[in-house]
Order: sequence, then C-alpha cells, then structure tokens
Amino acid sequence: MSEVIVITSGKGGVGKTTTTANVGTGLAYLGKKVVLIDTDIGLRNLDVVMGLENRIVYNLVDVIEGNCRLRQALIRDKRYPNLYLLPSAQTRDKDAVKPEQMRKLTLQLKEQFDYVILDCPAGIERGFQNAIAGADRAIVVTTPEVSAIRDADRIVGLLNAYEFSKIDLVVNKLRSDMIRRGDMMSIDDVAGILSIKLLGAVYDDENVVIATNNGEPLVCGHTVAGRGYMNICKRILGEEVPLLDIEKERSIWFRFSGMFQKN
Amino acid sequence: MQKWFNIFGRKKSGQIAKDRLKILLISDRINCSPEVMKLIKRDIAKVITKYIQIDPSKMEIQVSKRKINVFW
Repeated sequence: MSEVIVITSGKGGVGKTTTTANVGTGLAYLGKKVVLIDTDIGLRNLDVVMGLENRIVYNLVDVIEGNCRLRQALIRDKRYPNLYLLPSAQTRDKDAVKPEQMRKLTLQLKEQFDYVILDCPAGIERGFQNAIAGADRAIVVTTPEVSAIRDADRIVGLLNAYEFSKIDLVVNKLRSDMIRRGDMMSIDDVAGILSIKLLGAVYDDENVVIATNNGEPLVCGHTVAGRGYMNICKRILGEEVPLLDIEKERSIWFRFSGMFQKN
Repeated sequence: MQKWFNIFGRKKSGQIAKDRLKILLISDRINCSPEVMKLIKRDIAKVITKYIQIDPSKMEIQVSKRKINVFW
C-alpha cells in the first residue's frame, strides 16, 4: 500500500531537506518505488542536495498549471532504481499552488509509487498547508534546541488539528559529547517533552556537509548519520531496529584503537 | 549527579532547557503566558484550601490543553 509522508519541522535549518533526501534514497535503496517532492516554492533546495540540479526541465508549478505532463517533470535518479524527484519552482511563490491541487497531485502519484515524500518549507503558512494537504502521515524533524522543539510542538498541534493520525519524531543533530556532560537534551528528553512517537535519531556528523557538497545522499554509506537515516527507513518499512548506541560503540572503539571520536 | 551540580550552584544547561520548555510548551498549547498560568494555579490552590484542609505546599497542579489536574 502506498503512503504519502510529509517531512516538516516548523523551524528552518533543522534538516528537513537532508532528511527527505536520505529517507527517500534509503527507501529506494531498500527496493521501494519512491518519489520526492520539493514543496518549497521559491526556495528550492532538494535538487542540489540530491545532486540533480542540472537535470531540471519542468517543475511542480508546471505540473500544477498543466504546462507539462506529470511524467515529464519527474527526474529519475540514475544512481538508484525507482527513485524520482519532482523539483520545486524557483521563480514563483507559495501562492502559485493551492492545497486542493496538491491533494490531487499526491493522489495521482500514489497510484504509481510506494512512497511519496514531501519536503515541507519552514513556517506554518501556505507552503506548510500545501505540503500537508495530501499527506497520510507526518515526520516532524527537530534538533535538541529550545527554539526547534517549541516550533515542533506547534507543528504537532497543527497536524493534530488537521487530524493526522500518524505523527512521528526524528531528532536530528544530536551530539553525544554534549549530552554526556549535560549540556544538551537527550533523545528521551526531547521525545518526552513532545510526547509523540520517536521514529529515529540522527547524530551530528560532518559527513552530512560533505555529502551535500557532493550532491550525494549518505544513507547508503557507513557514516554515523547515514546509519541513523537507514534505521529510520527500516522502521518506516515496519522493521524493529534499536536506536544507534553511540556510547557503546565508542567504548568498543576506545578499547581497540584508543582513538577519539567526536560522536 | 544532580547533587553535584547543586553544590556548585549551577544546573547544567540541558536541564535548564528541559525545565524551560516544559513550562513554555504548556502555555503555548493553551495559548496563555507562563505568568498567567502561575496566577491560575495560585487561585485554584486558594479555592481548594478554602474548603478542604490540605497543606498548599504539598499540592501539585498540572495544566494541559484540555484538563487541569490537582494532586495532593
């Protein structure tokens, strides 16, 4: 059964686009047919994170306005089978699309794909309403910071008002060294405060920047963040995967090599 | 551990963030400021102690979106 997932956060810069790129790529890697939609009209970014910016011909607004057919606007990622991107328009604004039109579009895509993943813009205005209009479930991304958590809580409230039954949490940019010395809220702290189901945790990792520089998702590699994202993908598919235990790995690492790691 | 922090008179910033958020989110959710929340709690405590004999310091009042719980 296909599913439409919106990835949202309220606050900007917490890692929605990175999460969308990696969760989408991971699901495609695990054999699902996936389409990613960048709904951030005017500030498109998912294309560069995916490394597909040179292949854009048509975009989301073109499809909505009927300037092209849906399949013409879908960019196939040649590195992964069954992974497609519907890029956003750069020269338009959020009002170019109505929530009703997004609902229709996602219904159409649902027939052809196992997973339709929407990258939501920051904020709670029109762009947010467009992104959530056709979604079946939501993944709320936050970081362990007061501002991001406060915004995430507001988003959860709004999603509840729109009667979303499935709202999951991803805590991003965790730093185990800071948590250890008590200067950062832990995964449990954040999940407890927001009281929604924890889908996964991703540790802060310089490889995220490197992967974005290269335009390559890191979900298939063996980096700390990449493995965090892969676990999220497996949990979406219903697998029971324990949270990455950074502390345990660290102590084993210590024992064998005595080297220091940030995470 | 907690005791150690208190000896130096400083709480760890992670704990401060948690405490602040707990209060902030409750008032965000019901759309009223932490200051007003404090007043509501004070008044509820006052009304209850007027009719029932309880030590106000042992009373705990929790306010959430759709209900207010009073424990003692």
